[in-house]
Amino acid sequence: MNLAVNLERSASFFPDCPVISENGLEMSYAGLNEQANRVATGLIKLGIKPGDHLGLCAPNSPDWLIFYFGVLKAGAVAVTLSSLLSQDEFHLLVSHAKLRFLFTTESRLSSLYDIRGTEGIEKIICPKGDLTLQQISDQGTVYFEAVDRNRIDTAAILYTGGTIGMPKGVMLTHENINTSAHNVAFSERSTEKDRALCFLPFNHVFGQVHIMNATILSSGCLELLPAFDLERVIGLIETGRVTKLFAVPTVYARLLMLENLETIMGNVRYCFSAAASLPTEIVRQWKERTGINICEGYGLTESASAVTYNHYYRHVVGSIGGTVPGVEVQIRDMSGNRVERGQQGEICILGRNIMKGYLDNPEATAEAFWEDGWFRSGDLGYFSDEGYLYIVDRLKELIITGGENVYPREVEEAIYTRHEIAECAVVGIPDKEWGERVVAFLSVKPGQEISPDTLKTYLKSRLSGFKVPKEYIIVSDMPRSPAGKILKRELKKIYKM
Amino acid sequence: MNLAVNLERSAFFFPQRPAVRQTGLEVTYTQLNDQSNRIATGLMQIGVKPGEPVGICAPNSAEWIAFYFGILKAGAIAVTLSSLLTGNELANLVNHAKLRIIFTVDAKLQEMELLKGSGGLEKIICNGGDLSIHRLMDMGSGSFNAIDRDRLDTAAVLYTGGTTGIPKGVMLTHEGINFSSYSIAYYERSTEKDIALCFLPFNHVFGQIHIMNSTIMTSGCLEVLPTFDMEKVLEVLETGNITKFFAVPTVYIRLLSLPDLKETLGPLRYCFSAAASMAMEIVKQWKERTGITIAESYGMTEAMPITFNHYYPERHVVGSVGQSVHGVEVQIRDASGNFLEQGQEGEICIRGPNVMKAYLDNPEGTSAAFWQGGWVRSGDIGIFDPNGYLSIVDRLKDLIITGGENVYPREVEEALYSSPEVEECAVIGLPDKEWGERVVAFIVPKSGKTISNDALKTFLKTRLSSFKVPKEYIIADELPKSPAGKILKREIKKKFING
Repeated sequence: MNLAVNLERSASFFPDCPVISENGLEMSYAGLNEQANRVATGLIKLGIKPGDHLGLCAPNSPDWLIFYFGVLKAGAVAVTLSSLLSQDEFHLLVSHAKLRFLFTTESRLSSLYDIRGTEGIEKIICPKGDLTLQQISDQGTVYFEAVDRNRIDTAAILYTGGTIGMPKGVMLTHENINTSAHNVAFSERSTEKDRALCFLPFNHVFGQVHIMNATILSSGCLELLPAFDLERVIGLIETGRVTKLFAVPTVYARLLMLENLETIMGNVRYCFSAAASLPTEIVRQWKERTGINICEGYGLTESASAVTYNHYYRHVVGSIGGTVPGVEVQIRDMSGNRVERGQQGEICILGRNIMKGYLDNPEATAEAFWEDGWFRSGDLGYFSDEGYLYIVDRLKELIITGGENVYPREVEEAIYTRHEIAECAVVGIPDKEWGERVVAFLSVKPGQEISPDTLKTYLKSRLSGFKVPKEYIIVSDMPRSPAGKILKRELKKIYKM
Repeated sequence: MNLAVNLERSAFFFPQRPAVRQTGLEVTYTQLNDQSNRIATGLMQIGVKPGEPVGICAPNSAEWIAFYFGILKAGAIAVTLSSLLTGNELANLVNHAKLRIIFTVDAKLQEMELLKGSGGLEKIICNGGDLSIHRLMDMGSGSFNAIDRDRLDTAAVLYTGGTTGIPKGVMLTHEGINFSSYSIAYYERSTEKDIALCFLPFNHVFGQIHIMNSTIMTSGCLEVLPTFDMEKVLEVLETGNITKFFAVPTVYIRLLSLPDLKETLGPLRYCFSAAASMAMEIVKQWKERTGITIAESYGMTEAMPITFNHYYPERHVVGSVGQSVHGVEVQIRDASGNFLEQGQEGEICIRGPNVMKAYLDNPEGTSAAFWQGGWVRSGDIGIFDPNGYLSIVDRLKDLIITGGENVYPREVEEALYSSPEVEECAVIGLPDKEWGERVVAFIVPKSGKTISNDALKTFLKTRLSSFKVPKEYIIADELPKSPAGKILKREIKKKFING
């Protein structure tokens, strides 16, 4: 089993159909497959063996895809790093992953030359690097079939989590990614006629598995944007070039601010939100104005994305849906015992999509699994009677104030019901008296304003007193991860300053 | 993981949509789920525990499906037996599966009663039996959630192979059937709007998984016919808004003779051929007349589906059974289990979540069925083309599929050899309009003996279920053989078909 066979299949079914489109330029399936064959055979000529680690650290581009599938076809492992990593983070991960080759951008060159001696990178692939992608491809051949791999061999490594302690490099196997890509394509009823908007980075599980690999499996086309840019997103949608929209909640919130949203939707048939919990209010407004449900999924890097899916059949607002075919979820207490349906506990997962382990990090791997093989998500949730899953919060985001548990999500949901609010994030700040105190960060819609006192009074009518934030901090914009998630740890830093 | 959650999910999504239709009867998803809940809780009341095998031996019906999911919901194992089995064959399997409780129809009651003394059979569920399905339902409760099972726990046992030697009860897990149903739903792009015509028996892997479970998973509707009947099929096609059609090649040939084919088919969008690969001419004509490509796949009870001949019409490779399905690996191996390169002929071996757990209580059969590492041996010889399309060169097992039932020629041949007049014989399946294939016996009589077809037929009927008894007997002076002396069935077929 080799994940890259999905590309080969699509290239044989639809050789002339576009697989990727960027700035009006398109590359066909046959083209991508040939290029990937050239890179794979070129890499093999340069001594790359099955199982070797090869890195990618660059923004989304057709070349990124060519290299990724080239690496997979050669039987090697694609280590996909965020192109936004700081220099220190980058060095840490490059060294941890023991990369033989690295595909990157010119801007990283000087910093790489500083460390290459100690870190053992043999070849840096970028313009002005040791080799260009073109030079590798020139050494290769057009005809090649992906090297067969065992289903439990690692296909890709995606780093997750912060930079504290040992890095967590999630090893996803050929079977893991294939299972998830197939699940997503099934749930979304993807076909060769779909065009998926992708401004989410390929190094992240959402961009790489949910959007990119699922699209290639179903022979669709990726409409590429290097990053989120509201004007360009609107432009692409308006021209009718997008059938599937993938975004995080904040993007939907921003699109909802457009007065003419109803008229610009073009051929969009499907909307999906992930990477953070979606406020109920946004789903409701979006459905009202566009007629389309925002589907939601729940997944982690460790689960190669899809765990649950909030179905278009029956979208249950506020839930993250039911488990996807073949994936099981149990709610367990802190000793690993299953709790009754309806009770809260940690969301634990079993399925062919669950990672093999963290690269060279046996301690973290051991902590992540119960003895019976169930993966611990670190998220707190419960099942409804209908088998729909609800997320209460991240275990580690739980705020304990005066001995009471406060789930930031619940407070955020309450704040979002105010029409003045564009975005909000609730965090716990260390407090002498209470242990932690609840603090809300807010951004307000253009032309709107709201005073902390008004908001506080309003929240008191909806929440228990101990859940109502003690402080309200208005910010112009929220710190965000490359995937668009609000970074609460950054907010806490802002608070300290 | 419990396979029956698919039913619960569909009942949650589409409570009022029809799950099953059967001449005049319509059962909604809510009703089907409610009935299975009652059956599950009823079975638990009469002592059924998770992991216990419970039998079903009845023709297709809405009740069959309700009972099946009732068994699954109780965490028990559904042992699905062909309703055409009789006598020793039936007794063997009921005993082998250690069935305590069986769901059947009145027509089989008398025969079932006989099994009560010999084996462990205690309760026969049918109208005239120990308990009617309605009484069982009355004992139970309508609100219930399927008992959780491990993904590797057995959900169903489907018997395959003949009665010679230890029976082969294929143990399929909750994960296995779930994976198969999902694979098929993906390839067929099934939705809740589909209506699938099913006249193939639910005890067989094709009817049970490919059609029934896959439809329930996608919240579609099953139009059930208890048996194949060309007139009924035509009637349902004309009036039933069928969107998915599953049939053997000869049914397609028969339909092609209709002048107003396209009109007859109504909203039909998907066609699937369930047996041996289709003649190129038929696929072409069908496509020309209806605009629909006939899809094919390859599978067996021990693993299905294995390959799928893709519905992307221009990529349908006629004569091939298609490419391996997502998540399933296929290798061609030599007789010693060594992997062969693309382009070489060898045994088709399969690995994936859809591969059976084992044969029930048959460790020898199980160990002979697998190579190391979980690769199941199909017994079929195949070859891959450079695009990953598989073609079947020869079926080592010589399986005949007649009216959706499997007939193993060896079993019929052994029965024939027990007749004093038979010197040599070969049983093969020939294309048949009504049955898909019909069982035909080629016989070389012992010197000086004459054979009466009728007498032979009567003789066989005492030994075999009637669907296994050959419909035709052809007397020959000799049978074509390989240099090693093996009867060449391919040659017989060729000679017979080409006259």
